[in-house]
Amino acid sequence: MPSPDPLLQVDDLKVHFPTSRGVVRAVDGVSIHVGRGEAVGIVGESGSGKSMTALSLLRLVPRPGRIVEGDIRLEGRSLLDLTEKEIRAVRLSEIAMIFQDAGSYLNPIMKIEEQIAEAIGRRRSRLPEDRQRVREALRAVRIPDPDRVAAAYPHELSGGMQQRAMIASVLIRKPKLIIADEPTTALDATVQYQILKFLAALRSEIDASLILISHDLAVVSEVCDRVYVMYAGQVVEEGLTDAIFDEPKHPYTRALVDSILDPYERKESIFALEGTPPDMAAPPAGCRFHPRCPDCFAPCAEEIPPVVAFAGDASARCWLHARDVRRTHVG
Amino acid sequence: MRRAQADFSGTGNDGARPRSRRLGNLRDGWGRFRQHRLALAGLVVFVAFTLAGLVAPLLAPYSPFELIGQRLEPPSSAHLFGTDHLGRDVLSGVIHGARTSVQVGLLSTLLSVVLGVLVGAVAGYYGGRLDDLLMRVTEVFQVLPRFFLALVIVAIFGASLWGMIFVIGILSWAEIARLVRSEFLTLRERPFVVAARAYGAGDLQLMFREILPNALTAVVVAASLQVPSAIILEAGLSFIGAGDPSVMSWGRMLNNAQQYMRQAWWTALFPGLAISLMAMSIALLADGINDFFNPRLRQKG
Repeated sequence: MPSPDPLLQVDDLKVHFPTSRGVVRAVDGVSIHVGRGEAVGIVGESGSGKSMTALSLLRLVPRPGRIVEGDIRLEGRSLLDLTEKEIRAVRLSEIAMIFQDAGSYLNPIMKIEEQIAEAIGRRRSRLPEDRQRVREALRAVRIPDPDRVAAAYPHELSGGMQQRAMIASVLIRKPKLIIADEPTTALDATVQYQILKFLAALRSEIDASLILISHDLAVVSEVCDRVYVMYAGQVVEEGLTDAIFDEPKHPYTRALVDSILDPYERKESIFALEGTPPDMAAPPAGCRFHPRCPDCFAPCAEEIPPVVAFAGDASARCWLHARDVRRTHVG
Repeated sequence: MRRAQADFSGTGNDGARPRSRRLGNLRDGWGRFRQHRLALAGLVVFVAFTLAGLVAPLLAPYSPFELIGQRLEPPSSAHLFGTDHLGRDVLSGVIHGARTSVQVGLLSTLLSVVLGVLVGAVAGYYGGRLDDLLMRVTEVFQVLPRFFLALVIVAIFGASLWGMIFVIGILSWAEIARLVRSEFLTLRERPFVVAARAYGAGDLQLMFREILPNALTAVVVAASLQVPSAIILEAGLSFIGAGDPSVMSWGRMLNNAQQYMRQAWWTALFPGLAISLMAMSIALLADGINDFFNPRLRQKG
């Protein structure tokens, strides 16, 4: 049940990389939508195509990769039809990305204030009001001494401070959509939750939507209303965060939920999913998850599973439920 | 030392002062430069040569072309550096030569750096066929025999100081271009460049504001090595008659001295010493310029 007027609508997106071993289908028919002011999570292992999906939204797929199919609409306008100049305007003010390892995503020889000023299109932070704005932005991300941080180079700051500075440079341009790609993965656990919390608070302050990408379902559940679970370039399950936690429908999602460590629940043994994600140049036939799936049965290895819709904007790409559906509808 | 004290006693918030950013950066750079004693020495020598060149007519006791004494007079109180094979004052020649050498060395290097950076940046940033084309052109310039090309150009434009600067600049940009290209090839994939692109930066902004400043260290080093080689190339060109006959230069003096070195060491020693000192001061200076641009080297307290 997509909202009637979504901020972002991605339909059947396909990103292919031609390689010497054949075409790697990094993103293979992904459809997602993000409402205004909504926070949406994308969860999956590394290599599941979640970061590539994010980069596609900015049309920044690295060469030789290419968006070969699908459509990306921001407020109804197709981003794939834009000229280079127009997409740059979108990157500047409408969709902003927060990267994982802020330290390497900041220019090593520019001071923090220069980099933030650049975000609002100022070449030099000379004007007092610009300097003021930069410091306000730094204060907004809970930096206690903005003057020192503003005048610092990235290497002089801790990882947490670097990430805060990067978030400040994103928030200062008041984008409509923020994409955060593993924004806290490189940080200490205590800092992680601080940053997640104020990221969530600040983005609702400026009324921006959020796509939070993480391999960690627990992180996503802190902040997001809805979640997409990706596996091998496809969305295998989507639904409200609570519903996914309480009743995961896809066996892969269930594996992710089960592998979360919960200090209050003394587990006999920690669940660990066997195997590794498939080789995307030659993904398995049928369901891509079937070689690792604990519930694999007859059709899984041969036939591609259908996307089964559930109530409440939820769906799963799995034969288990196709069988249920068939049974309930036919029988 | 003084800087360290200022940091302790100061308020600790440099940024709060109403000071322009650009000036603040220069100040930081100078702070790093100052800690480099050898670079300071290089700067002093270089400035001394440049000043000597600028006021050469006032400083030099004679005109460098004036025949004022006996041939091959050894150093004495009348002629501190002796006289050359025509009876010209070597000291005056060295002082006037500084003017030519500094001019040729710096301006031709500037020309080659500008050309090399442009070609290398475009090739490295855009890659693909444009890169192939530009690199083939660069290779042609790298393998061309320098003196042959210099002669051709001098034949067309005539032998003048500016012609020489142009020739040397044209002959030496290829190495800078290759260096800049390789820097751009690696830097353009770096995350901060990806981030800048994600934040809406255009090609020019990425090339010259994000990538080039990070490649500058290598360019400065390469350029600093090119200054002495330009001075020496000028010497060679002067020797084969492609130099400007109306100016004195160290290279020219050295070439003249070649035949008299055994009888009159002073004709070769002083201009040779000048070239070595100049080359060394520029190499040391380049080290300091490196620190100047590289905030990572900043030492605290």
